[in-house]
Amino acid sequence: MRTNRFDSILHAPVVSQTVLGLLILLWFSMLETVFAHQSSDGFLAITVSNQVATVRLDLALRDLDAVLWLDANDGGNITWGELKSQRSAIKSYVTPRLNLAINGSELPASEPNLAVVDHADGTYAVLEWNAAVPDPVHEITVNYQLFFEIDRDHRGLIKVSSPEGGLSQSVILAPDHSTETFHCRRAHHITGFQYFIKEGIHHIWTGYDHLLFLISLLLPSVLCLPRGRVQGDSHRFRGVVAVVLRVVSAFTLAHSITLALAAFEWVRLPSRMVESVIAASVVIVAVNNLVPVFNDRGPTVAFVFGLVHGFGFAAVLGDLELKSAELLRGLIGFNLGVEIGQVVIVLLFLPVAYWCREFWIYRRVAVQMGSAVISLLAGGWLVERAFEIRFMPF
Amino acid sequence: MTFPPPIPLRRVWCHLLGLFLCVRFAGIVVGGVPYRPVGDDVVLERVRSRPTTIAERELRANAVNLQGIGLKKSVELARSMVLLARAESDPRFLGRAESVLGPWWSATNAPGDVLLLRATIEQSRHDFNGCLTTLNRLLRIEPRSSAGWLTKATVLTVLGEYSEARRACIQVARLTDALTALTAAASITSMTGGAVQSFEALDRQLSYGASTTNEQTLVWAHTVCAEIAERLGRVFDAESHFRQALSIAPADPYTLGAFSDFLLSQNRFGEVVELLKGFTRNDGLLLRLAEACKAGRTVQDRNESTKWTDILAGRIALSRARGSQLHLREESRFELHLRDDANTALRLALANWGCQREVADFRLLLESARAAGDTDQEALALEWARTNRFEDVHLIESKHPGDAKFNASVPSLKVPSISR
Repeated sequence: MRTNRFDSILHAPVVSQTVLGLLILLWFSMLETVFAHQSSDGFLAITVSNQVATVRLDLALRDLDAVLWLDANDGGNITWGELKSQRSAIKSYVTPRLNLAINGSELPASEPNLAVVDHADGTYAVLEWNAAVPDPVHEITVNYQLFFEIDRDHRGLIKVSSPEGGLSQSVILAPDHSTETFHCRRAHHITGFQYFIKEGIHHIWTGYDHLLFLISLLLPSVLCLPRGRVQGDSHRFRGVVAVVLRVVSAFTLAHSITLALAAFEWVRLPSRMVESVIAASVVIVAVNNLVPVFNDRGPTVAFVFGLVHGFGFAAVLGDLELKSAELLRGLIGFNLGVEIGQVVIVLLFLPVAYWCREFWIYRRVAVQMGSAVISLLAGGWLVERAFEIRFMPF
Repeated sequence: MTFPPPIPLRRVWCHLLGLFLCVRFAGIVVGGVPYRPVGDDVVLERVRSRPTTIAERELRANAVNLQGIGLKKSVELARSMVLLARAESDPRFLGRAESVLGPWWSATNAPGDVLLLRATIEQSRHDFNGCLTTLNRLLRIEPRSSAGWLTKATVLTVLGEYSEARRACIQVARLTDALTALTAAASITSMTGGAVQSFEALDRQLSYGASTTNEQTLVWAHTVCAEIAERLGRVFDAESHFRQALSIAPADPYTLGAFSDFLLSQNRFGEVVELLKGFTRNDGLLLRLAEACKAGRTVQDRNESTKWTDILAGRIALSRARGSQLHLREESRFELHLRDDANTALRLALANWGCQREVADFRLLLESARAAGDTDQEALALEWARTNRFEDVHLIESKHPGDAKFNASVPSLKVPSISR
């Protein structure tokens, strides 16, 4: 097969007849393995929160240089001074090529701040600006045309988020797909109250320290009653419910008071102290199940430590960054959420614990072992939080 | 009846780690804290110093207004963009070249010049099928386009379609100078059992035909010759040809990469660091630099390696963020040598093998299969080598690459060691 003219090439006499036009292509045939480098990208991040849209646009200096000639002195370098001097030129390049609209009306342009940022493939200029947005926000439209006229392979990597609108989405925009509309899943004001309730429930269910505190308090509640074993079953159950109710109400009352105090910023405590005391409260209550000290004073204990837990809830509420107008609504919603979450836990726990209470396994394993494990765990948190170190897996 | 072996726990962890890395990558893409430099003269970025061609200067002047610049000028501009892409190791210029060609890019009656540029750009984007379609269009209207035939031969070789590549290469031979034809032919023949013959023909041609030929052709020919010598284990010949290529074009990215690979396989890490430290913009070269640093002995070397590895991870994340799967070869090599994740490397190497079949792709597949302990994939790779009579000292497994070189440096290595 290979005996034809092809082989003869290898043994061809030396003939020099350079063909023009080929030269470039020789290079091209080796282009292949040379790149591992991605092409040109622009990054746009829009965050809508509290009636303000924050827009951040990262553009590669190498891309800007192609349209604006940033390297004014032709020195082979772009300096910060050169970039700053082109600020208005950058703005007038960007403005007609980037259209942002909220609920269908164009977002007013404002003066951007200029900075730089290092991405993995080079330095980018960062333009950042704010604009007031209507409330509520239903949809955000992005039309991205930057650099498409000089580079068909340029891509806009767009990220739009609105925490209150339940929106966080990314798309890649290209010359043949340069517009995208993002829809908020909820309008903030209409269902905002539900949002806070949900946050409250979420927090109590995923905040293990509050959960363990509550469970440690409730574990022995089905055991310590009744005193005289004379009443009937219904009486006995009612007694248990009463104890649980008293403990939970005391906890609720206490943490509601401090949550409100902290939310309105009437009282402020250092979070390291608050978090450490919360961990300590779990340890104390769990140890108490092993070595009873408080006996009947469960509700008092719940109240005293509940005050501290309230400050812990307040920190979470603070993270939601509420405007003063919605603070009260947020506070009530969040607190309600915490209580709902709590009631659900109690309703799940109580019947099971009550039914198990006579078994040896409940007294020994659930109460004794459970409390021991909880106290160890919370002890770990206590050390972590007090000394600001991390060694626990969660 | 045999049961498949249970998945080792380590592999599960690898997957979890992979997941973690993906999440971390996403962080890098989105993150980055903007800052304002302290002084006006702080250098932020290196760019080309000045436009080299008139066409490029004009492009700068009307960068944003390309409408109506005429076909001739468009082609001229696009060509200089494609050259820039290579000179600057920056594929941005490929997208710009496409834009410069504007409506002619997709015109059904596009002239040959445009089709040739389009094929070149498609090839660089690994759109090999698109590239072949474009080349066939070109060769229908310009059957004497030597560049067209050469590109076709190259693409077909990359795809591992050697008999078709040979047919294209015969056309190249009819239309170009001897060295070009010979180099193109050697590229194919050396893959299919004719490595010794190819090397000797090319070596001989270079030894007495050199002065008459174009410099760029010479660099190409020397590099191809060196690569074949390296595969044959002729270490001294390989080094000599690499050095001759680099003496003509000291900054040629392809030759630098190939020479670095040669040095790495000889455990000459310090030389690689010295060679590549000025080329960190190019990912392929940065990858080799990071590997050399990782194998280096000093603490400083290892710190450098960590730094480069993080930067490469960021760049891979960037290209994934835009949905690109272009650089499986580099990603696989990154996982294999820098992250020591043989399983991920093998997965990527297999995907890459589905797209391109050059020497580097074969070695990566074989090496990652061996590292991952996947004897099935290793056997498949060796079977491919046997079928094509592919010769490479790397076929012989050895913990000490130097030994393999020594064993294989017998010049009469005609049939590779496939008896394993």
